[in-house]
Amino acid sequence: MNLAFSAEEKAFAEEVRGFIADNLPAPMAAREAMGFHAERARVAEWQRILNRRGWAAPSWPVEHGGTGWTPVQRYIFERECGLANAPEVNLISLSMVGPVLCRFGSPALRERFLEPILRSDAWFCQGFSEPEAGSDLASLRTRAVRDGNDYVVDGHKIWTTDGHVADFMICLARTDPEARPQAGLSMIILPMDDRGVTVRPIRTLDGDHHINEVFLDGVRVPAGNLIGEPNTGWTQAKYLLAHERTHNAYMGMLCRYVARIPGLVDAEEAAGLPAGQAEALRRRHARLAIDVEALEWSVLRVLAAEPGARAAASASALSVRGARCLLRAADLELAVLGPQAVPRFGPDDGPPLPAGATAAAPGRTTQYLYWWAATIFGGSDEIQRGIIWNAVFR
Amino acid sequence: MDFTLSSEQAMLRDGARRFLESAGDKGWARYAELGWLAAAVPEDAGGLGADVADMALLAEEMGRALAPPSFADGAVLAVRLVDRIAGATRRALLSGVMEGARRLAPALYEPRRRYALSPETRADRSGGGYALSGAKVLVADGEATDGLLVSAALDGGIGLFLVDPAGPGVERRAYDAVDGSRFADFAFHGAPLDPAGLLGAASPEILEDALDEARLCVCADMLGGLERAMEMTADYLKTRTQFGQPLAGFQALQHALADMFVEADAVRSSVFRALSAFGGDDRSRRRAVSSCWVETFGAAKQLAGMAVHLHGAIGFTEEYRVGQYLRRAMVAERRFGDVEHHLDRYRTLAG
Repeated sequence: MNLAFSAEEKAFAEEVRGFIADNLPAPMAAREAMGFHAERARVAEWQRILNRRGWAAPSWPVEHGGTGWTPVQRYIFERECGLANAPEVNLISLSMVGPVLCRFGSPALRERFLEPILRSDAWFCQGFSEPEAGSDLASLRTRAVRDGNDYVVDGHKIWTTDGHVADFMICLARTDPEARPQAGLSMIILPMDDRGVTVRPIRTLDGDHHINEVFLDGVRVPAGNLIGEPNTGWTQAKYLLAHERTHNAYMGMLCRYVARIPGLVDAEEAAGLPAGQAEALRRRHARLAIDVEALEWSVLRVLAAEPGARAAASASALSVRGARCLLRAADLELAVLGPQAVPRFGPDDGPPLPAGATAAAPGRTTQYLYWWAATIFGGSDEIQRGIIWNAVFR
Repeated sequence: MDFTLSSEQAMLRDGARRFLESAGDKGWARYAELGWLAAAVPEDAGGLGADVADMALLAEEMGRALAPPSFADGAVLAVRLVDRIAGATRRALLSGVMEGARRLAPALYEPRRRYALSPETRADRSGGGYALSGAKVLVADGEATDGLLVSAALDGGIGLFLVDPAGPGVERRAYDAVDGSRFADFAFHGAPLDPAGLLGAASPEILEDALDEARLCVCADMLGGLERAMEMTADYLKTRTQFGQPLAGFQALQHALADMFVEADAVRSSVFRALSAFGGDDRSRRRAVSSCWVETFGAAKQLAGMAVHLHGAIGFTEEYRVGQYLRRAMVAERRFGDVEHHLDRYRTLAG
C-alpha cells in the first residue's frame, strides 16, 4: 500500500498549474466559469494552446501524439484544468475517436484523422443513441449496408452533442442484421457535410443548444471509413468505456464549485444575507467538500485498480456520486444567490444584468439544470446500479 | 499510488479474519499473544511500531466480526496517550498493556460537556500527592479496566493521571451501551493519588492527536462492519424466496443494494484518504480525520439500517446478527466526537 502522491506527481501538478496560469486567456476562463456550454471556437482555441505544449491528447499512445502520462497524472491534469476554469475539451474527438483509432483504426484512418484532431481541425460528434435505443443501445437500428467499395448509412441518431458544429460523426451502425444485437454493430466515420445528413437542433431544459438529432439518409462513405473489422463495434464501444472510467466523476468541475462557493457566501453576507443563513450555507458547503474529498479518492482508487468487474463497479459508483455531488453543488450555489437565481440568462446575455443581480448569477441556473443530464448520459444512474449489482453481488 | 495490500498486510488481515470469526466477542484475552496489543506500541518501548494503516486493517476486521469495540480505546488511544505523555512510567505501562497484564481505559470526556477536551475535573496538590475531583463519562471498558487515564486541570494546564478505578474516592457506575458493550461513568470525590499518579503534562492538542489515530480506527471498524452487513444482505436476498423467486431477482432490491455499495465505497475512499494524511502535516491530518468521521458516520446508520430493512422482519430481531451493525454504528458515531462536532472541527481547520 502506498497512499501518497509522489514527489514527481506533486511537481507535475505545479507544472500544470504554472502552464495554465501562463497560457489560459483570462476572458476564456471568465466565460467558462459562467457555466454556459463552450462553443467550438473557444474550445478549439484552448485545445490549440494545449497542443502546442503537446498536451492535447493525454489519453493517446505517445507514438500518436499522447503525453505518456500515468493515469494519476492525467487525473491531476483534468483537476487542475477544471479548477482553473479551462474549457472542457472535445471529449468525443480526443477521448473517444482518437483512442479508438489508435487501437483499432487502419493506418489510413489514423493518417487522415489523428493529426487534424490534435490541431482541432477535425471535430467529431458521437452517433450512438437513437430514439428507440437509449439505455438499450444494442437495439439500435441505423444500418450501414455494403455497396461495392462503399457503405450506405441510413438511420436516425439523437442526443448528438455538437452535431451542429462537427465535421464528422463516429457512428455506431448495424452491419449484420442477422447477428444477435451486440454482434452485428460497427463503428464508421461519416462526414457531416454529406447531403444525406440533416441536423435538427434540440433545445434543452438548461436553455442552451448543444444537442441535436441527426437524420442519415443514404449517406455514402468509403468502406475504409469503417473502423477495424466489420461487426466489432460493440467491442470498440466497450474499450472506450473502459478507457474513460473516471470522467463521469467530474472532479475538475466539483473542485471548481468547492473552491468558489465560500467567496460567494462571503459576498452575499456582505450584501445583506443574514449571518445565521450564511452559517447554514457554509455548513452545507463543508459537508459537500467532505463528500468531494472522498470522491477524489474514489477516482484515485479506480485509476490505480486493475481493470475488472470490481473496478467497473467502483467506476459506476463514481458516476452516480459524481452526478449527485454536482447537483448538490449547483443547488447550493442557487441557495447562496437566492432571488438572483430567478432571472433567465441565455448564453449571449452579457451585462447589463437585471437589477439586483450579481455578475455571479448568469449561467448558474443553466448549469444546475444541466447536471440533471449527468444523471442520464454515459449510462443512467439505474444502468450504473445494474452494473454494480452484476459486478459485486450477483 | 498503490491501494493493494502488501503481502504482510494481507496476512495480517486474513489471520485476523480467521481468528475473529471463531473468537466472537471473547477474543481480547488472546489479543496479547497475537501481538495486537503491541501493535501500536513504538519499537523503542518493545512494541511492533505498526503504522496506522495496519491498525486500521485490524480495526476493520474487528468491525466485521463485531469484536469488542474498545480496541480503539485500550490498544490505540491508551497506548498513544501513555507514549506521548508518560515519563518515568512509560515503558512499564506500555509493557503491561502489551502483555495483557494491564487494561488501561482513557477517561477524557465529562458529563454535559459534549466532546470538550479541556477538563473541569481537577487535581489539587495535597500532602505531596494529589486529590482528584470531578467526573468522567463514556469510558469504554470502564468495568474491566485496572487503570483509568484521566485528564484533569492542574496548575493552569492539563495533567494526565493514572487512577485506580477501585481506589478510595472513586465512584464507578457501569452500564450497557446500545450495542451491548459495557461502559462506565466515574465520579471522583477528592480521590487521593500519590505523586507517581501524574503521568505527565498534556494539552488539548496532544489529546486530539492521540484521539485522531483512535478515531481513524473507529471509522475503519465501522467500514468493516458496514461492508459485512452489505455482504450478509446480498446473501440473504439470494436465498430468500418470495413470489416464487429469490428476492435478488427484483430490481428494486438490486438497486437498493447497489446504492449501499455506492455509499460504502465512498466511506472506504475517505478512510484511505485519512490514512494517507498521516504522512502529511498536522493540520491536513487533523482535517482529514474529521472529514473521514463525517463521511463515515454521515452514512453509517443509513447503510446499516438499510441492511436491516432489506432483510425484512427477520432483520429486526435481536437474534439475527445484521442488526448488531446498526447498534454498533449508534454507539461508534458518538465515541470521539460526532458528525456535528467533526464538521465544526473540519471547518475550524480550513486553511
